[in-house]
Amino acid sequence: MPAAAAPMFDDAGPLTTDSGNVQLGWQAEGAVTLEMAAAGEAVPLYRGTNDSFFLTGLHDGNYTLRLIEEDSGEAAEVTLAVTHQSLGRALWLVGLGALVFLLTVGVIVRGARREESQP
Amino acid sequence: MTGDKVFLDPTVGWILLALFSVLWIGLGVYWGRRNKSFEDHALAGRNVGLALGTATAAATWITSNTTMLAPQFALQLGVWGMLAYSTAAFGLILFAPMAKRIRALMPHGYTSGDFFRLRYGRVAWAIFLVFTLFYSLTWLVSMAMAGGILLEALAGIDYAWGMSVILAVCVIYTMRGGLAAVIGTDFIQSLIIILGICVTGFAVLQNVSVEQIHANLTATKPALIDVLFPAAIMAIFNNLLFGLGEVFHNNVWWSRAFAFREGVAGKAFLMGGLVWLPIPVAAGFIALASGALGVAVPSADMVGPLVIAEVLGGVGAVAIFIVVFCSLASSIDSLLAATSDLITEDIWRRLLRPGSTADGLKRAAQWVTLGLGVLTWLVCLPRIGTLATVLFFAGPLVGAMIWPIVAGLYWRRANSAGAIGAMLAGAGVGLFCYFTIGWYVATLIATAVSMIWVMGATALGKSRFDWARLKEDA
Repeated sequence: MPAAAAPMFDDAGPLTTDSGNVQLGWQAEGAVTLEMAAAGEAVPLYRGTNDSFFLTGLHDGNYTLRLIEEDSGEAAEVTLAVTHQSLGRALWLVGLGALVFLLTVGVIVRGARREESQP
Repeated sequence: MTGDKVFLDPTVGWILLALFSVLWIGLGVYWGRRNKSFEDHALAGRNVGLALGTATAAATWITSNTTMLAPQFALQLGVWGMLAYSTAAFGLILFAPMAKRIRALMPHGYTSGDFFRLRYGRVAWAIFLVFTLFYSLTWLVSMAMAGGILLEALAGIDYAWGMSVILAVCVIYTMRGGLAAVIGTDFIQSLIIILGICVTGFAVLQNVSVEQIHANLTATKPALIDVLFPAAIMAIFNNLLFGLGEVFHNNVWWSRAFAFREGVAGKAFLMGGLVWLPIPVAAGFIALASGALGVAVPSADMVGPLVIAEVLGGVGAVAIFIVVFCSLASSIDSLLAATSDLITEDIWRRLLRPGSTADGLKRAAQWVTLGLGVLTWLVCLPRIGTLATVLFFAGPLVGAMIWPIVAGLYWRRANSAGAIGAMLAGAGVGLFCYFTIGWYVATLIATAVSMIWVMGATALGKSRFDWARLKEDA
């Protein structure tokens, strides 16, 4: 009987994201356990026969994802680096968006009021 | 959508599909029986009342993206993402006073293209037509593709068959019934959608408390409740302005402004926006509850159906199938009707056949609807692209049209140079940012550049537009 192939992530990594979320996919025979470790402590994320998992809501940091095949005990690992986009740039864009929106509202409201007073 | 989980037995799926298909086509034929002219077909005789007006504004804006992409937004960008999606309601709310002015300035108008042609001339009109047709076809294709993908994921109905049936049903009743059929079916569809989402929201809260959801998010997905989540806060105004651009420029909304009875347009759009506002919040809340409910999410676009199936079981599977089918139909029919009217009025009547009779225009609009349906079907058949990315590519184009429209409606000194430059520069810089920074800033940058251009050109311009030129006779 041939030995079962080790589980394998679709993207061998290292994975990176600037929005705290990542789509994971893998190939494995049967059920798997997916774990995530940050600073040494591993927490289980998923256990079952799916072949993908959407990981989201992560803060900045380096994470290690470990996929363990339940029958064979074989495992695969991939690293994930989360570096969120610049907060300064985000706040600057929020300010710009607020300005554009308020000016747009201002033109419409002022125009509508003028229309009411001068039909 | 990935994964092969099916929520509903395919036979049940086909029965539901058949029942709703017969219902929509029957109603479309019934409501279209009084249409004699192009005005009846395209604008429902310019006599739509407040209840139907409010329902069609809300239902058309509830697309499959609202029911499926809003949960995805919340799962990716958290609470801010959920709120960012709901800001699209401002598109309808701010269009309320604009619709009133449009109705007053253009009592004989048919399309948003008429406004660009009469207000800014043929060059601006041509640019507008390219932008709006790109956007409308992209939206139409993304909706039809979503239909096929969702019916396959929900009930195991083959993608090509599901997409073809949804598209064919919408083409048939829109061809036969025109805008009257679209608005009538929208009324029923909006009631079904709102009921379905409310039931789901309450069902989630029966299974898990808000405190449990918060605790789960804090422990496992902390960025989703972070007030300073950079990608999420960048998305707020980008999404808001995308919504404004979509509504302000597109003939889907202008045709309704022309179709509503006098005095109805402002109220209908305002109420439609307020009805729509909480729907993405409810849909997004479902996604945020997924962790507390113990639902493993294989891909972001599966989160809505997975949570609903978890809390409602078999009933939930039927409910989401019906809600998704109604969401898709209410958007596809509106897009087919409005885009075919735009092509019939702006290209067929104004460029190719200026002497067309009222009956001839109605027949032309019906053939254009059929042609659009066939074109969409051919594009969708190979199943290329994803739900979000295809549509967001159009963001800079619609953002760049906001200020030419707003200024053109309210400022006499707004001019063609301002409108043309604003659309080209705004869309160009926005698309550059789309590729160099990301989709979540592209619409915002495009709108900002367009706004500055319009303001500059208006300040420098000497001409003053005569509003009477917009009162062109049919």
